[in-house]
Amino acid sequence: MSGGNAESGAPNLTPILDMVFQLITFFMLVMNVKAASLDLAIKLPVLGSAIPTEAQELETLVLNISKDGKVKAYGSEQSPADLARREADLARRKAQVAGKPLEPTDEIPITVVIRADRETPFHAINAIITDCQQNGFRRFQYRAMSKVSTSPGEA
Amino acid sequence: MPRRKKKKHRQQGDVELNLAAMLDMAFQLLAFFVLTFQPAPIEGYITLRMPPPQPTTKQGASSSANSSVDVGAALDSLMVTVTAGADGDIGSIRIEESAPVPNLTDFEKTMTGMLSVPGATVEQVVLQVGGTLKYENLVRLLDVCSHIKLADGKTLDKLSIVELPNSAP
Repeated sequence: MSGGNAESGAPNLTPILDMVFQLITFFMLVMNVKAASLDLAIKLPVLGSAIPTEAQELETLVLNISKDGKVKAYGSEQSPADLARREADLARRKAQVAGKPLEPTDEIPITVVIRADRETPFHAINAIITDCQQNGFRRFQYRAMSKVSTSPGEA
Repeated sequence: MPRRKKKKHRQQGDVELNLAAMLDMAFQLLAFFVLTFQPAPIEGYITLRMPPPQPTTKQGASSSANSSVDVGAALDSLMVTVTAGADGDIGSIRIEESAPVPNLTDFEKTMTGMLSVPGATVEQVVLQVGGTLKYENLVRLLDVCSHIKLADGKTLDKLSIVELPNSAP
């Protein structure tokens, strides 16, 4: 338990290294990888009765819709029709590999998460929903803030 | 004897690990995590099953009916028309051809009254929504719809949304 090498006067770095590693472990554990798919610049509406997102759906397709109806997914702007088609094809291929092929009329087992700005008009959202429905998506999740957030992106 | 030997060995080649380099790297990692840390926002959700709207067979029959309760008891599908005000707010809510419902609270009461009647079988509720209605108000409407109880005690989770014709800007 000495404070380092007494002869050379070098400090003992072991405790500080321990502490830094503990901090790194903490940040690694609390880092939310899923939050990367969320566009935090979008101002979601506030709805007190919305269920907090604890019990997450297994497979989701997160669509961030801006005020002017532009869709952002996987961090970049996308065409909703192309994106829905690609995701549906991928889900069908996955199901085929798993030995449970989906018929063309079957529901795609993915929940489409709609994260739209509170000002987005319905006609823009409806166009996106229709694109998803045409590709076999049936489950939709509408996101809202459970309470007023104080973070700059959500205020 | 062995103790002495050990001491001698230590003095001859004292191997010390230089922790400074490792500490530098650890601090860099720490800085990365601190700078990129973003707490996840507290978000809520409303989940709905939304099949594409299908042609309704009861629509014509329902429009001729006068009593909303009678309509509910016989309906396979229920058409709710929601118009948008000038600033994207909810303008009016009309269930089938009945008189407009003044607000969302009354809408929920009326819908619950219609759909929770024993024997009422609603296969789909179709929301005809004005194109300029803001997402904020759409979510409030969907929230109310998702709380409506059906005759079997379950909540309404099958909804179709269509755009009100000629309502887009």
